[in-house]
Amino acid sequence: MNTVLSIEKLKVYYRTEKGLVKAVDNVTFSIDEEETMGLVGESGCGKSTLGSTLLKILPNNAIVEGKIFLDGEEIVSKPEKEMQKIRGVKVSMIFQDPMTSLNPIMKIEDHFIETILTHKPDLTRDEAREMAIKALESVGIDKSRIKDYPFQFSGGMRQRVMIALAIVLNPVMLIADEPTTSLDVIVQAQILELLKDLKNKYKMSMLLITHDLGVVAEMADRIGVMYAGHLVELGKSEKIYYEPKHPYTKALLESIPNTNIEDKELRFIPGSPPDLVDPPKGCRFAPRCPKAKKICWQREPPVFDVDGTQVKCWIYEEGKGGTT
Amino acid sequence: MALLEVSNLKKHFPVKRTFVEALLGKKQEFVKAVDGVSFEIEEGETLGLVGESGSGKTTTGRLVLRLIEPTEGKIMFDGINLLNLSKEELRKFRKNIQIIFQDPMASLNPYMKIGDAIKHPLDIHEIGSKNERKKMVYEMLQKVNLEPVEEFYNRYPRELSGGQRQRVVIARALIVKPRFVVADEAVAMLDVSVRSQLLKLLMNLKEEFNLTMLFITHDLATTKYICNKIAVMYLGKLVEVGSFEDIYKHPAHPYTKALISAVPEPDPKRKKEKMIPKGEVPNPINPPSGCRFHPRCPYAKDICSKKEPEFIEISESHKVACHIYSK
Repeated sequence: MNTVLSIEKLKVYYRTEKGLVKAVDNVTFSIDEEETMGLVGESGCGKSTLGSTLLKILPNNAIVEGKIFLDGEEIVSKPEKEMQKIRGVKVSMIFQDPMTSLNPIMKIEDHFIETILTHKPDLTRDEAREMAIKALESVGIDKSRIKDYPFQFSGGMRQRVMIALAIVLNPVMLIADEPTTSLDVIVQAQILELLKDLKNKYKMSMLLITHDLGVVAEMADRIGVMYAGHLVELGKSEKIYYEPKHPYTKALLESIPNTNIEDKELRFIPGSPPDLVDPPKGCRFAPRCPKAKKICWQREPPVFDVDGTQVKCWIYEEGKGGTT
Repeated sequence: MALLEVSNLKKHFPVKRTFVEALLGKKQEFVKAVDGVSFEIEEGETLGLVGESGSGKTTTGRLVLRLIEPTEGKIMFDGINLLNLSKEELRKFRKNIQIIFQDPMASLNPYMKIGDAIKHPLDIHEIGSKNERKKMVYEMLQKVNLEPVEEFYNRYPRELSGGQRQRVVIARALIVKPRFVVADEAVAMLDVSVRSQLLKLLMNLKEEFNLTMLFITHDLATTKYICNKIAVMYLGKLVEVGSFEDIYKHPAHPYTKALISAVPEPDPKRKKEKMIPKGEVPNPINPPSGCRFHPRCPYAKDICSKKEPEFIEISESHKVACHIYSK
């Protein structure tokens, strides 16, 4: 399998009045061709920052360090002008709220024509419109609606428009940042099914960013779990769900309300995530971890390989050499 | 006798017409947000009201507290018909019935110290002296685990995390010792690890205060922990009522079945048959005739588009409004 995306020791810090917010710290992973990777974590863990970094659409106060290779090209060092040729063409993104990404006073067709002609200036408007119709039909929207405005669509339909717009130039990589979070469960199931089909049809790789461990379970081949800016566990989906290694992953899975009637106990993780201006010195989960030892408070844990799963936790130190 | 008895509750919101449209004789249309809902809640019980956006669950919650006036119906609370109360009587009565909103940032005044926010209902209902009120707030802060209490009293909402803010909202609703609380998506905005903390807190307080509760949520799984009974709502109507086990293990209404099969579960090997209905929830201005789910229902028969189904008892705790089960 060829690697489509590879991230090496990525750091994204935000300069703020309170100091540097270490939103993403030392994250390394890669995604193969036609693979779906799920990136899960709670609010503020850095998952969305990471997604936005891949398109370089971060706010001005962000500082990025490390390397990102997309389809063989390093993009952290790329100037904005070059990035414009990559966005939408090689990598596209869909967001949680399509209403904020669509222009309310632009017809649906104009969104498409603008995107297409920016990247393919040789095409005529009619040719671009043809491409738009094909993309819309692939997401289940009739071509008669091409002259409608965003507000004339329901939430689910708008998300379909966003998806069509993201795939119209056939990117190798699709980043979906909480694509179904604002939708109801039934519409969510429809959209997830659509994303799965399109991924296969267009042979894309996908990075699915979500807080919902249920959503990724049905979609992802591999899952990365983030906590307070660190990637704490990375492994095959089934491994993550059935044999979680990191204490945070375990606790997170246990705190999801399940539907087993006999199980009436409500489990949760005490405390709350740390302040990323001044995160704990060692492992960032140590203050909430039931298994924290002395070293956990002192040194950042390296990544250990445990049965094929990458775990950033000192528990697995014995005998196995770790790499930072 | 049930503490709260709601019968045939309706709320039809008028759709705005422009002046010209009115002149041209355009008919006044109504959004039938809640259209004939009946249920009862026994003292100390919690009813979970589950549904998607636009099902009318939030409107139902507000109607029950008379935060908005119903178009039709009856709300009996401990033998008193709430709809017969005058404005002044209602204001005094509100001490018994409180609401916990979803978004604490929207329901807390950003310029008010959280201690004062929690104290506010005591001021309004003139409960206790100045010192007593302060003492009661401290007690309440302690009950929702915002300690040290003196420190939290003087903080502002922006200085708290989402979970802490929601604790403030809970404290404010409970300080007047209400008998009945509507919790409208009270834990929906929070991350999983914090959500369960809050749910646990709510369960403990419910015991301690012997609360009766209407728990409104889109998330079926959370109802297991806190609800005695669950009602499923679709497009302004209840379609099924039962225990968590009835609803989850033996869903009877095709809509409930669809809703349950659509919930993504954290189990990659789960091979649950998905039954996802096509299309989206129809427009509540002109809801479908007969059973409102019939255009999307895979089991729809002739009668479903013609006659509205009535509730049929499947077991003692479980009833459903669907023609499949009528003889």
